[in-house]
Amino acid sequence: MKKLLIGMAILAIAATVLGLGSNAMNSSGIPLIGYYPEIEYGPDSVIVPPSAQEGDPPFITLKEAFGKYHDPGTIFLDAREPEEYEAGHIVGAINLPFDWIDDYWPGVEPQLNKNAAIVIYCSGAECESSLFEGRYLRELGYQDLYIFFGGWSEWESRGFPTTTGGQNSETEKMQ
Amino acid sequence: MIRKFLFDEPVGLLVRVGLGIIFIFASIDKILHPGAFAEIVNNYQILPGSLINIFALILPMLELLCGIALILGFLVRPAAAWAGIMLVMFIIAVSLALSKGINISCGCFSTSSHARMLGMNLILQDIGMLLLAVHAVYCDNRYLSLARLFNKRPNSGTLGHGV
Repeated sequence: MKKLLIGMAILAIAATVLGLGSNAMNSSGIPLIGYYPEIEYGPDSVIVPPSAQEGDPPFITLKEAFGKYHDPGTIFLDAREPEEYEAGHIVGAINLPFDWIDDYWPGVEPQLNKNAAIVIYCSGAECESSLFEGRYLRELGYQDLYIFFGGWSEWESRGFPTTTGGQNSETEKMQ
Repeated sequence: MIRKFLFDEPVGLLVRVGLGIIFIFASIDKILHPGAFAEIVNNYQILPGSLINIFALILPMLELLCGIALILGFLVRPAAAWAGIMLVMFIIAVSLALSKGINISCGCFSTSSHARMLGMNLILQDIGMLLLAVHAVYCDNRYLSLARLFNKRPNSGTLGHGV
């Protein structure tokens, strides 16, 4: 075991010396510390509709939504019309159009989990389907709900990950 | 009989050399294009910005050295252990990226942005290579190796001795 660790240290040191050394000798080498700017989120204010009431699911900012997007346990629900969803939506989001919720619910329900965090969005500040859908889900006993009221328009304007296509072609996450 | 096959010296040699060739092949393009590789590392959104370039310079060199060591047969176990650690790292990185839905090229064998995209098959391939690495650590194969050339002790082909 000791010999193994010594051997591994030798390899690691040699790789460090060779890697950094050859880069230093190379005229087209790269700086040791590169410039990788943090993603710009813009003004980090939460958008809340006038119709919001006490007891509604919390409203979250774009930054919070993006944070939750990186949490594999979080489910995104797209409350817009199927045509809008097909034209472009947040990667991994499930389409549950609020206007057709009774038709879509049987197909969507098995994909949800009462304990999972669920982020609901629609077009943006001009639509309230996400809020109504949040209330609908809360009635059904879903607890960990969030309304991303900036919605599709705010998400897309920042260039965050989006994709196109209908619900049934959703193999996107595993491409 | 399977056991006999697994610990057969020529089989061990094949595993060792095969793994070595894969690692050398994987390292070359990254060593030639460190900037492009650093960009790919950044795309994974795992490492902090300050560590990305250093990582992008050292990792391919470690791949190359481990590949050479595996083929020539010196420091076989340490090289195979590093190969295993790197593969576990790759599996975790690819899984994280997939779970975040990040759609990027994998930076596995090529730094071109049009190279292969991330996918489940990549994880399976890495797991397969990980098995080879575990085999190489466990068997410490010295068939046709520099280690045996310089150290002609008897029974040096038996399991798990020394480096």
